[in-house]
Amino acid sequence: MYGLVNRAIQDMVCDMFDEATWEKIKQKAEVIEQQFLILEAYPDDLTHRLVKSASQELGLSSAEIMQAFGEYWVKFTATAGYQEILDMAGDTLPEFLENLDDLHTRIGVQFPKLQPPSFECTEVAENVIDLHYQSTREGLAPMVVGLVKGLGDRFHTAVDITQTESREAGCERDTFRIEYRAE
Amino acid sequence: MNKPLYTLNPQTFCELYPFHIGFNHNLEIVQVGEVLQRTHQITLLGEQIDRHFQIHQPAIAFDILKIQKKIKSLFILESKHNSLKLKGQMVALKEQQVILFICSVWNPDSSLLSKLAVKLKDFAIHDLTPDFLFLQQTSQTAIREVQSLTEELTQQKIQIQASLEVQKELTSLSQKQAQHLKQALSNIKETQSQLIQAEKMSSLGMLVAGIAHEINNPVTFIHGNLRYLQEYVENLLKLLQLYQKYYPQPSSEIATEADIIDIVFLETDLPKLLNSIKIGTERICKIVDSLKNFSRHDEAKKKPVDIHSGIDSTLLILQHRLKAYGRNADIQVIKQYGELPLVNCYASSINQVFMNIISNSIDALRDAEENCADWNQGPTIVIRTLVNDSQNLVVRIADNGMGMEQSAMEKIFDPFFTTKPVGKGTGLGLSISYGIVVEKHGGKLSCISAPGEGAEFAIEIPLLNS
Repeated sequence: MYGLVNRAIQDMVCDMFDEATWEKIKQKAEVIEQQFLILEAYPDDLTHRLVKSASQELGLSSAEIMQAFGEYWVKFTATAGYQEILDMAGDTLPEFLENLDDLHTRIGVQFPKLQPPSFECTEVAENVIDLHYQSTREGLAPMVVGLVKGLGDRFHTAVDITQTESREAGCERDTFRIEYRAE
Repeated sequence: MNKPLYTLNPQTFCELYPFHIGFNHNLEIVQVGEVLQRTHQITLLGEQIDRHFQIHQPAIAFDILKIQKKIKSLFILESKHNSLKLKGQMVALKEQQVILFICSVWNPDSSLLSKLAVKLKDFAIHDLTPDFLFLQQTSQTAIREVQSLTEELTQQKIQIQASLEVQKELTSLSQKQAQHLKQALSNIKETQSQLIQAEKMSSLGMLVAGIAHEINNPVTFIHGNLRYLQEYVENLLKLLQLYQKYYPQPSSEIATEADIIDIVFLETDLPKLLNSIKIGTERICKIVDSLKNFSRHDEAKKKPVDIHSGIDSTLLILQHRLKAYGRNADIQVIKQYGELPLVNCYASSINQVFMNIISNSIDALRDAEENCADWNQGPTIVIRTLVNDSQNLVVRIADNGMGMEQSAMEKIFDPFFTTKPVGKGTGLGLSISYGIVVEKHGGKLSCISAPGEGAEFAIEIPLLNS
């Protein structure tokens, strides 16, 4: 994964806890890098080690960490220089989710090794959509829950999200039922 | 190239080029892309294009002929309303006498686009402008990151430099402290040695003074009574001679006893015996005087001192070491005393200097006798005294031992430096002597020596205060 992701994990831990906690997590994960470079591709294993170590150090499950990270990711990317791009990607939650794949594709120009996930929206009813998520990586579904909640905050939209299909349970993809209402 | 068969209908064209604009030969806007129109407050259709846009590139005014002349050029137009720049090419539709400017946003400024409410979906899918926009954003992010890393590195460099400075200062400080410590340790050692030496000398002085005092009383008693004893013996011998004169025939008992005691020998030997005792007691008195002179332990202040007397006392103390023993010969001491005034000094300390230097000379001579096969001179110590330029008393003590190398000469007054075998010398004698002569009396102590040529020490004491 790109350094952007690892940097986001670092900032999240430092924001929510402190730098000493981050150093412990890093030490436990046997990560020697002093600083993650945003445009540098790092092995996926390093990110997994960080999440696992954070889970042990903070006493939270990996799913809880990933969900918190998904929520934090929306704010982080805005402050990391992508605010205008996020602004251009849509004015509402469904519009943004609809444009997510395009966003990832276009951003691939700068991140040639990017292996972006795929998001597909199906309108189920008024203010209800099914979000179908597919990724080459495993175990990141909880992050989607956090991501949608973070986007709900961004667009001032109340969100209820439930996972209806799970790849871990043998389904072809992860599906989330999202009920939303603009506030 | 195959002849093209298909073309776009105007609606599709508009979807594919949402920022395009078309104008006729009168420069009247005849067609506007949907998104371009949305970014302008006024309706552009029917307006004069040159009222709302200016050509940035090429450097021409809105003139149909000039535009047609540059039709193959890249054109950049800028909206006079919102500064939005458009890059594209002019396409002349000859039949309709219309020029279409097929373009998209140029040099995209994301904040301007955000202000104009232009969204990603407003760009045609084929349009690379959003990619440039993303690239620009990422490039700015990368620049910020590089700036941040540079600042961090600069900060770290400053910290490292500061740390190095601190380390340098600490190193310098610790070196200075180590130097001070070394000096202090050396001073303590020197002081301790001086104290030990002084204590030894003081003890020796007290011992010598005590012995001298204890011997002095009975010797004075003996020496004082000896005169009367000689007189009484003389009287008795005279009386005996009178008896022998007037009673030449003594009784047999007296004659027998006279034979037994050998009265004739006794009469001649007794005065000799008494004279010998007198010489002996006189010598004892002289020794006691010398001992008292050497010790002078009670003298804490400078006093006028007879230097020759001090040297003689020292020689007397060292007499046993000057005498021959085993294969070692008598050391001949040659005194070449000049005329000296009484010198104002610390007698005991000066005697200590004589003791140290003469002892060293004796050691050097014994070493030469015992360890140097080619040394076959009679061991000699020459002591010369003189007054130099009426200003300094000079005592030169020279031996004809093996002398010293220059390297040893340079260190002989350093504390703990010795050329003697381990256990035989402390390396303090000359150092202490140097302190006594130079520091205590403001004089000079020097040495002249060369290998095989003996050594001569010169003690100079200023006479100013004498």
